[in-house]
Amino acid sequence: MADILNITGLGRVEIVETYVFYDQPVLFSCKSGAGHLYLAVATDKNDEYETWLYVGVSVERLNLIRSGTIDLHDAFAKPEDGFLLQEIIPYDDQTQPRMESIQPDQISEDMLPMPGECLELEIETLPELKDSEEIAKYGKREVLNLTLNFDGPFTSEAPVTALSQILGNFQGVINAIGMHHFDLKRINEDIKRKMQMSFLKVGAGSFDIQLASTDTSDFFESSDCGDAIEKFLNLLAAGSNQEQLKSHLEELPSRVAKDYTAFLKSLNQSVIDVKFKWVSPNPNRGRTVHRSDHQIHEALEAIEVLEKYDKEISQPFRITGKLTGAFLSSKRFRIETTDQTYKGIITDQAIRTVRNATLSQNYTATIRKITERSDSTGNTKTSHELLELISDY
Amino acid sequence: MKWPHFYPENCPPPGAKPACGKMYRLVQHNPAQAEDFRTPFEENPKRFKNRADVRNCGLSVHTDPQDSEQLKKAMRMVPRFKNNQIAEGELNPTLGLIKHTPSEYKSHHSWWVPIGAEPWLVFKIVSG
Repeated sequence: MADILNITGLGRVEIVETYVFYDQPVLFSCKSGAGHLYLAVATDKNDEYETWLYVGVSVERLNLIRSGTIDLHDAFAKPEDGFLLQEIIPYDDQTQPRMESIQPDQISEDMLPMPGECLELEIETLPELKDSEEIAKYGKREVLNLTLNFDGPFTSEAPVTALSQILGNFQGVINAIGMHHFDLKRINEDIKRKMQMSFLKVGAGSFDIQLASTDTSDFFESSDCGDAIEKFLNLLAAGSNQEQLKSHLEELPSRVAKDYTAFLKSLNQSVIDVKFKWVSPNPNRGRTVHRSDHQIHEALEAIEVLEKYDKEISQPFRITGKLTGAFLSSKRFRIETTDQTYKGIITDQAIRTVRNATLSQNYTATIRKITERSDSTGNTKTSHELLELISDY
Repeated sequence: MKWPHFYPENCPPPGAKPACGKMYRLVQHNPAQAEDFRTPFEENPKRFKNRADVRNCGLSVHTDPQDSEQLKKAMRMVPRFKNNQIAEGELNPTLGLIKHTPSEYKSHHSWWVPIGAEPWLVFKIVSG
């Protein structure tokens, strides 16, 4: 979660980095909606209002300020653009905040940082973060390092199809867990954005790749994506232990089991072993899970057993209603009676009668009900099979 | 414990613990006054478009006296704090809940003060 402020005259700005936090960010860099960078500082507070100073900075200048090459006093006293912005926010409800442009010589020394005071950041430049711990700590992002040992002559290379399937299925599991996290029945664009993992780099040596959450963690170092990664790694660590798998899957929607199965299949077909190392901005989170091809195969078998549905087929029975759907290519039908809609598969024995049927006409149909129950999630699915269709005319 | 009416849901956040032990805080007045313990949201809701969140309803304190050196540097960097002083106080559970939220100060904690508490009475200036 990024920090967003609404600043008079600048509009909606996003805090890029906080250099001093006390009750709130009081010295920070921020970016406007148009992409302009500013350095901001709390300058004064009295009984009537508080005052903030903003100075526009280029990326290069901000890096010089961050590294301490330019001190904070000069960062404000010698602005690149030749002027600064001063925001005055009155405490009373009636007076609106105002932003004014001021010349450096209009600012008294007590409104500026003391000369010689510098930021002494260990990281001298903006984004260029490399190490997982640095990305997690300074970038506030969840980092996942994947080591994939592919079955082939070149250990530092990866087959494109296998890699895309593994990563695509992995993101699918994270999205499905996110859907549950937000208590939604469908994955929407917002969930996709919050759960989105970005590809950062490929490491040297064996086939290592680094992914990081696109969304950042909040002040308390928790993130929705981090919660999803934790649940995903719980599943992976459960391996083939059916009790653990069942307990983890029971609290998640059935789609997770399906997507996790697809993920394991993509691994099972291509890797000798895999390692996930999670580094979180929260020092109390993070773990490493390693799985061999044998363990992946066993986990897949275990989840497939769990995912088996107990099938119950009823005795055939007759209904009379309007044929509202007949899809011959997919062999699907829909019949609406006065109190219920029946839909499902057209059996081969009924296909000929359906071919000659007319939509919106009344028919007497012989069907049977199929109820399937998942062992892992307890979810039930109900469908019907059409055995015969007879016109009422 | 009764919290101010403007606190949002989940504020104080899960994991916050009863306030306890020696804490340090920047204050503007000597002796410390009620104004020194007003949250950013209380002081100026307009800056937050009248939207309170768990951060702007909390106060900064730190537990390790060594972090006071870092705080003194912040006082030189942030003009608003130039004339502030560091106060020390012994917190107790009637004064609210705290949570460890390390920032540039490793021992930084966020502190949520309930209605009726008078924390300024337990804080004394220790350095200027």
